[in-house]
Amino acid sequence: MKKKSLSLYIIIFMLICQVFAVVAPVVAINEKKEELIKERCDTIKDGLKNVQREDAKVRVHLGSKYELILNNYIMPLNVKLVEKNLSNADLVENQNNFVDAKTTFSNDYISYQQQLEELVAMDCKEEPEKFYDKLVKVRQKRKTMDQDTMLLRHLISKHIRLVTKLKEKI
Amino acid sequence: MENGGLKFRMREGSRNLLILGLVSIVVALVTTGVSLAVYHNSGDIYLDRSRPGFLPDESEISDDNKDEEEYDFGKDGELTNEGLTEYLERLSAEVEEIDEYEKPFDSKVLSDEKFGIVPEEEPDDKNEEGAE
Repeated sequence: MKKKSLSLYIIIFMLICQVFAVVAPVVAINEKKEELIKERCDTIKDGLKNVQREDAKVRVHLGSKYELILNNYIMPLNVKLVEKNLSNADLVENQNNFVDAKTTFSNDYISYQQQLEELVAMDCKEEPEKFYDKLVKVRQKRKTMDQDTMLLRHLISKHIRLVTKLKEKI
Repeated sequence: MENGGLKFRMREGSRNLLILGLVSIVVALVTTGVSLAVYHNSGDIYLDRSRPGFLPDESEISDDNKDEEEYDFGKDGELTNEGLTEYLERLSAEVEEIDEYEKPFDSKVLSDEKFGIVPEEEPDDKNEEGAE
């Protein structure tokens, strides 16, 4: 009986901890940093807006290249291989992975930009701590974007290797 | 009496016209609001570069126009050794354009140093709070 109530207390304690972990800010910043954020608030916001514009440019460039590679290279090759009864399981698997990675790239970009927009809209002079907390979250989203582009680049390289192998057989 | 009836009909007609105009404006505002909400919440706004402040540079526009003849393996390619050689050459050219961006979403762009928010007393602590 005692054991049961003890485990119940532990579960309740863990739940409370989880709630606080969600509510409390991820990072605590010192006063000096807080002051710097307040002082440089306008400069930081201008910098963030520039990042938004540059990111839009990069996304369009990369997004259109991924689209082109999928629609004009990867998919037509697999279709032709199927037509000639030469279907290659590795190439098909790689195509599926590429489609998934491209979708993830688009979704992550939207999520990252939503967070970035929220950050730009925040008042860093009034709430520097919350602002910095959000900045850390945006950094994490940006890191995910970096990983997405690396995965897509890896899948393109793998496709080139597989086609080079295929070429040797034909 | 007839005159008064005509006046009443005219007033009623203009009132109906006014109601029609107001209802049209309200419907237009509501549908535009809903469209904008969908446009924003779906995330399409972040993929759209035609919005103010995000329009493409002139250099980008000329870059887009130069590639008029787009290679498509479905139409132009053949499953021969030569066909696949051309395929790989063309694909490599596209990949080179992707590689122009060495680190397209570099984390340094949002670092504390970039924004000048590293307190001078603690140079070793820069970015420690979850940047990496």
